[in-house]
Amino acid sequence: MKQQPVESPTVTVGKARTRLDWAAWALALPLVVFLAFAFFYPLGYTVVQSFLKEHGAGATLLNYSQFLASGKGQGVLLLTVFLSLMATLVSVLLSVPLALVLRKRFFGKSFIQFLMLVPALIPALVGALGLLILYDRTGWLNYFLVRVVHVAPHPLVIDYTIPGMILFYVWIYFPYGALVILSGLQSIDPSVEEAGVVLGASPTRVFWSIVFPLLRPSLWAGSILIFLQAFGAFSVPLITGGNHRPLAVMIYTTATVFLEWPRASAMAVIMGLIQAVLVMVFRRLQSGKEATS
Amino acid sequence: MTFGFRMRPWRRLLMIVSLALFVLFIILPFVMIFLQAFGADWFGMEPLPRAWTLKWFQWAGETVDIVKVLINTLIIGFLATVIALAVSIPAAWAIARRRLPLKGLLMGLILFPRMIPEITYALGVGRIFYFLNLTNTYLGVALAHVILAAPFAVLVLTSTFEGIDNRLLEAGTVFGCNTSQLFLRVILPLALPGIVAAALFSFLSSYNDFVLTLMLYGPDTVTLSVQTFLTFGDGYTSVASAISVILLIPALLFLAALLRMVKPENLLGGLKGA
Repeated sequence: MKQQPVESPTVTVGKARTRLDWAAWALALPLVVFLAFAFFYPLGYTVVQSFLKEHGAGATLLNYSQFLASGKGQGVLLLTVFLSLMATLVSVLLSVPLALVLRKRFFGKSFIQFLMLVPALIPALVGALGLLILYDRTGWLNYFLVRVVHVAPHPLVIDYTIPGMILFYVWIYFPYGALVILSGLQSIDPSVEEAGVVLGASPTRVFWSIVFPLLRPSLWAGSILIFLQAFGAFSVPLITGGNHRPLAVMIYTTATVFLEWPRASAMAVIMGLIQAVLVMVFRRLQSGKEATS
Repeated sequence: MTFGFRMRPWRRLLMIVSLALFVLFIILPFVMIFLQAFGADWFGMEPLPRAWTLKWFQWAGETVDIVKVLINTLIIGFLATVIALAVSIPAAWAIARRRLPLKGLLMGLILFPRMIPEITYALGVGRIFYFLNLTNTYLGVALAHVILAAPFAVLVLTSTFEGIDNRLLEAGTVFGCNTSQLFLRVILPLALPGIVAAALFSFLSSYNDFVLTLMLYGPDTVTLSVQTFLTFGDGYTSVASAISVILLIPALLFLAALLRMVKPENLLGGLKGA
């Protein structure tokens, strides 16, 4: 969005105000009341539920301890973190070369840039459906591998496996990282690289000694963004996970299939806390980046 | 171009091949949905369906009343947009142009829903809205979608309002505008692009939402994304693909419109998660 610089955005119409304007909270009131009712009240309700016993009254930490101590609960956490970490790693490995290529000018560049955004901006459910069809035992990929180039004797099983889920996560969530990495790359002053070239460094050397260190904050920020998306993923593992159920899917099934609301609530609180901490770290990185540039 | 040496031919070839693979990687899932939606008797291990058909769309019309589902989705999206704008415009104005005390606290409250995964609060929203008889109503589903739309609407509108030049407002006052005239004749035209972007975004986040809708829908408020899920879950992949096509086309059109107004970084930051 284009905007002209304005001298002092806080000044109101007419005379300048120097005192704090408590009356302005009245303008924010409808939104605050709405969020209190539709968001914070349900959230607080969930937190309270998480400390309740399954049947009857009384507070307990059992919902937490049972989940965190059980092999099943730990397995769910491990699966969620593993899927998110792998998806992040693969996405970054895909995004860096893509961002490097997108710095050059070539035919069809704006098309590639649009494509880079699409998976993150359409309903994830639709993307997941298309991915399931493409990588099915009888889908195009297996048709190509088995019938066209004959590199595989049997169709590969990708759908409903963990590697398959990582592939699908990458397809849907890599744009978050790619955008951050691309904008980080574009903010690097080209004269720094030219200096490296002039001093006789090879392109590989220029990348590892000059570009990469400068890009590191963006790599971290992009990685955290992808991780957060993958960590919170719900609709994708819901339909592509089969028997593999990460945290978000477990919360949903615990609540709506098994109707164990307190247990589901405890899992939701754990998930929310982990994500909130990661967001704080991300904000810290972002503000650090702004301070240095 | 960062530095001025020409690429060697083999590097050029490598670049073209990897870009082509990337394009295929992104596009093919969409191609599959279209083939599945328009193909008759396509059981795979064949490159293309043997015949083309519209029967899956007809099925979608007959078995799940897709027109009703589409109307539900549009009504809910419209309601969510109107409510999101109604609560976000005054709040954004207060943040952008008044000396608001505890501004950081307010921003924290507004952006909080974006900091945690949707499923963590969708659970509670489903329960509370159920107690209040808001499940399976247009208003209930729309209100839940406002939780997604409002934070981003406030961000876009705040930066829009900050960009309005004080001198134009002063000029309006000098020429005798009262407050409402000032809003209608000076502020609204200046802020219109931002308001349109916020509206498009709000509609799109309602239109695309799945998690909150899943916790709140009932027979009268099934939306396109929930219907895609239900139909796929029933095992009708082709019908689910047909519904996805109906879902996808307006989503892509809206997206293209929105991308002309908002920088993609901001869009992703707003659309999901942190």
